[in-house]
Amino acid sequence: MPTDGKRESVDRRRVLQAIGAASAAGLAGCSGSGRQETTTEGGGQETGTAADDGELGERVPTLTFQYWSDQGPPTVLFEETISNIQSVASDLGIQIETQPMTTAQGITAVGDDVRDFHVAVNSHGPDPGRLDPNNLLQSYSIDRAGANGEYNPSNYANAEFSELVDQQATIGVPEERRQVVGEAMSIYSEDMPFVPTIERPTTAALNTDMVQPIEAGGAGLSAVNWSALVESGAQTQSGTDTILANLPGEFLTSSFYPTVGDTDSLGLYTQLTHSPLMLYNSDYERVPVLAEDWEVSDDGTEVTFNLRDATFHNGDPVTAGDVKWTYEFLSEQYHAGNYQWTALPEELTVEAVDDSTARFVTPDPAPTLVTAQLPTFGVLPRDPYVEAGIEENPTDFEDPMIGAGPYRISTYNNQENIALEPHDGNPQFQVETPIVMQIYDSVSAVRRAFENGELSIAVTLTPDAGRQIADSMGDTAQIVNGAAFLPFGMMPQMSFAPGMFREFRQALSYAVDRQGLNETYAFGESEEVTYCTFNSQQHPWYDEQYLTEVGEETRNVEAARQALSDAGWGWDDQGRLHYPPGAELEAWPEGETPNPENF
Amino acid sequence: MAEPILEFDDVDIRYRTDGDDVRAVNGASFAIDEGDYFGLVGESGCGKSTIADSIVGGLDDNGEVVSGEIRFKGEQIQDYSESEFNENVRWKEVSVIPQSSMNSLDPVMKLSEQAVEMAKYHTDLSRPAALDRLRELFDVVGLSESRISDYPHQFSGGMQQRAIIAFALFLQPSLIIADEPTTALDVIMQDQIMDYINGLKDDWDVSMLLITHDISLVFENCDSMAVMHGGQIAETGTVDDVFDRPRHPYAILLQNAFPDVRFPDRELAVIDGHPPQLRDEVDFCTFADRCPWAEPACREGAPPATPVAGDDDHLAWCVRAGEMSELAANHLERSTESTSILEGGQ
Amino acid sequence: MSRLRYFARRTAVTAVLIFLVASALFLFFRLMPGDYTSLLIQQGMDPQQIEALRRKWGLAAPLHVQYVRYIVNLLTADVGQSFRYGEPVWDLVAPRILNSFVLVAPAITATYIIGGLFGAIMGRRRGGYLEKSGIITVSAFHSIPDFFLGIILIAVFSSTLGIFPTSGMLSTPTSIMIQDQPYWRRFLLPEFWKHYALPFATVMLYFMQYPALIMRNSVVEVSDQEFLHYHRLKGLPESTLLRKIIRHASLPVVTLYPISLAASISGLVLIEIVFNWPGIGSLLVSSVLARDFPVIQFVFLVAAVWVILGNFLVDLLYGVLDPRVSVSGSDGE
Repeated sequence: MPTDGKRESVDRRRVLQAIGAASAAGLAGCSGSGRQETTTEGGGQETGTAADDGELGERVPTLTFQYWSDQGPPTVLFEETISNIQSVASDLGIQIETQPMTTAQGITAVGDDVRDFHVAVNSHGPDPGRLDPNNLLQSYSIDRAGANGEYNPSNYANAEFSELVDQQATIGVPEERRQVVGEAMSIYSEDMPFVPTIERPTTAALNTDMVQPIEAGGAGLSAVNWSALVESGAQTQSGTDTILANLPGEFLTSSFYPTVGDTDSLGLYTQLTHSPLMLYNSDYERVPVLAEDWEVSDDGTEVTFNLRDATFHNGDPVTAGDVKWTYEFLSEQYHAGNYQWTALPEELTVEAVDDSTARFVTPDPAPTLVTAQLPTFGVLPRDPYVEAGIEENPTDFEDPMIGAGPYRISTYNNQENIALEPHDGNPQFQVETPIVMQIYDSVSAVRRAFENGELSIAVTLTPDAGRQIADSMGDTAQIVNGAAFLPFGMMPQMSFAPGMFREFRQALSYAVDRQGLNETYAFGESEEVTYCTFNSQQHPWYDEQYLTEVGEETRNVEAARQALSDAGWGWDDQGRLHYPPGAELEAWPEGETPNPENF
Repeated sequence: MAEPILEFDDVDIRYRTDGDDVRAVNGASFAIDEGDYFGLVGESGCGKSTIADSIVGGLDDNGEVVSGEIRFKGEQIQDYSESEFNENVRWKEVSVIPQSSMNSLDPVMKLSEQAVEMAKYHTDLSRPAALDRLRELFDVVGLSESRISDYPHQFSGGMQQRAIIAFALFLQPSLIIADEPTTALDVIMQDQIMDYINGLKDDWDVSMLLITHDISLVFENCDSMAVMHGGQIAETGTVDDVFDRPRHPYAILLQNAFPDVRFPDRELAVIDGHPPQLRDEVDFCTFADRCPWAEPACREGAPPATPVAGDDDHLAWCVRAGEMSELAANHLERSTESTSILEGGQ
Repeated sequence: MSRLRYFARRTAVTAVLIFLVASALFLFFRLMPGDYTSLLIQQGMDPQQIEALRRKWGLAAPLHVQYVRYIVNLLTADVGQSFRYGEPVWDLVAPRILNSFVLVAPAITATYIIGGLFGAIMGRRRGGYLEKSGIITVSAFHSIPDFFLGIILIAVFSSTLGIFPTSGMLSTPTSIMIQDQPYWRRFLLPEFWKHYALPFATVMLYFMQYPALIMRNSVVEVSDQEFLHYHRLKGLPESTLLRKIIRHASLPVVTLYPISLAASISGLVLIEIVFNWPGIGSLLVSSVLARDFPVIQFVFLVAAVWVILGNFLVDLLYGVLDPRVSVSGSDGE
């Protein structure tokens, strides 16, 4: 069955490649006879104009670009992206409106396939779990497309891609899985459901009078990625001071169990206080932490960890029993619906082979266990948590906040601040200085406080703020630039026109000035992304051999127009863009979900 | 004869404005003898309230005595500062029954507190002593002693006026200025209040400056008087003299303009015209334009004070004062015809 | 007797008002465009999870059932749980309201006292230089956006002169150090007052216009009243007169005081964000963005109750300031 599906889809892909861009329209057109009348009727209104011209189809309506208005620095980028396109809208013969939405609203609207907007200028949040491609691949699965309440960022529907996505989730042999993921990415990249723009820059600043400069990998230093700090030992200049850092407003919001509370803040706990068996370092590479090493069985159903000598913050040693309890509990709670993020395999069992050996066993291969979930969630000491009542009230208990990370939480004030003290029981990281982190709601308040010496580390700055700090403080400030592992981009809604047409997405990709965006938003500190992928070049799964180059670093309006006219689109005498004559304008009817048979 | 307690000697008072100054009082001279009730009568706007204010330093911020002397008990007070007025004149020596009693009592203070406050700033009276004194005075003016702790709004208009009289008496001043004390009251109340004011003559050693537009009130209640018109004193003298032998045309006409219980059948006279706006220097008789007997001389200089022959301290500021008995014979007729009750009563 | 009746009536009116406001808030948030439940639905959740969450938060029930439950909960002082933080709204909001209150109540009160006195002096010196320049100054401060005023103060007093810190209520280490001590303990620290100075000054400069200008007008008006002339004739010294003028003239200013206090809660949002003051403002903003309705609802309710109670207290205070508005209204003593 998988083989059949694969062959079939390969054929399909060849067809796509052969017919080129125009095929999408053709495919959509023959996909369902039932709704033919609807579109004919819709097109009929404009028949007069089109008939006179002889060659033009229905006029492309004013296009609505939706974006998330509550994302802080990324929202600025969203807005700049839209105005970047807007500046060449008349050259393309289109008009553009914007529609700000909160993230929650936007996700709901896309999930319901409401069709109020044609392009969503959103981003994929760099949750640590997405360092394995599985999560985002699943997002783009056809099962999530259409009006079913599930979020598929561009309502992308490709049965072949989705099948590969399903396959890769259970392939136990890493090389094989890489191959299948690569094939899936290849279809994805060719179809271009996501039009990438630039890498997502992270900007941080250290006051070098107070803190010793750090060596940061490609990830830089950010509120979700503190690796660079612990890797360099978190040393202050005097050796005795406390490091003062900021956190964005959405941090310290979990009322229970910080290590599983919310993906936004997970990086903070995973890297600082609740060490997992292994984690991603500041180069997005996995390094062992509580485990010495691990071994995956040939069939991929067993992973065996050899634990190092480590102690929890309460002085107890980290044992295989704690590992067993932690991950079985998290799995159980996820599948019982209590925890939303601990997506461990349902039938996971962990064997404590001896005190320092733990074996994870699943009936089917669970490749994301070692690439996504285990590096994300820290090991918890069983006894204190059970005594605190976590088993009876998994979402409402007094969190003892004990882990085995290089830092111990000495104070936690929800929505205010958190104080961390060095803990010497972590086998991987030795840190020297206590850290105190305070919530700041505005980037400019962070910048002023940093410039005034009230903060020794400022994270999650805008590139602009980083530039200002560099200007005002000169050598006293070390600016740490990095990139998150997911780039920015646009998500054309593929359930209806014009987002459903590949040539339109292609034109969009040509029309955006990536270099300009990099200059205006990131002062050239970021990088243009011209290959279609949701992973950045920093991402451990980035592999260019599977990707299609879909755009240029600078804008090419001519290429954009060419892509459209090659596919039969045209412009009337007022320069307004029209669809090809007789084009079907819905990939599937509004309010429904796409039938995998047709995609 | 007693010493004058208050003397005005050729007093000019002006109000500064953005345009021309208003010359509210010009060359005013009169004197009030100790123990006398002195009536100052005139139309509204003639400057009589300005005179009252100038005695207690109550002129508005832009008002000023520019020349002449005001002497209180022989002491010049026209140039006093606020604190000198507070120390030497106000309330202990001169108290005021203001024109609008209804609005003069502080609405947020109990009457007792207002009295205690007066005592505090002017005497050594203790609080209980002050309250006792207020009770006494309430009794005097016919208010129930139990009401001393009321707020003003709990009193009727007449009661407020009585309370004001009680306040005026509170420190036993030597002079009380009653500025239109009854204007706001109904007729019966007016009468009662005037009775109280009159009654004070017998029991209190006090002089009174009664300011009114009602000349009959003056005739009924005062010993001596002045008539004012357009910022000038027209005539001054004892009530008897002015009543019997008015020598300023305004005084003559004014007498006829009010009903008189003594001569109920008399037809009321009407004085035509309005007093002039006093913006320029007042070197003429301000009544000239309304005066039936005016002659060019009236407009050629401020009229001189002319003693009326045969009377003590009876002055008329009219160039034709000497001729008035003949010129206004018609108007003066009735007073020769019948004897006034006033005179007969004395 | 009548005093008691008056008090009872005012209390009843106040209670009804609060009830109406609470109901209006309930409806308002449910009639707002955008799904009330959308916050709960996160990327990657399956429908069963969503349904379970909706049930957990009681959002599956019909509107009227939710309403009755909401009112009953309010009456039992249960204001619900934050969608976002999953903890009782009260625990979340109370410390922040306290922090905001610590800033706003003294700042607005001082603004009204100092602004009122300043306005009174302006009113007594009508037409003078002080009055003219004073009006221009207070108006100028109010015409600058409040947050920008804050930024200017930071630029001058923190960045340039280095006298005051730019952010927070205390430095973070200090606030952690004293967190187990009673709240008032921070008032003993010089550091607190250094942090306090700039936001306090911002609120004060920004809101100075209301009391100063209203007091000025009011003083001008009261100065022309007959009873003041009478007071003056009675020989009361200028200082006493001024005190009386202020007492009379302060009625409109007192009326405005609780309104300003409440209005400043919203005005404070930006000031708090600029100074990173851990008050209600930033919580309100982030809750609105995240559609955390239980929190927003409660914060609005607190603000409304604050205005209503403030007016209630002003009504009572009026009785003291002006006996004509006295609760008894009759002449019985």
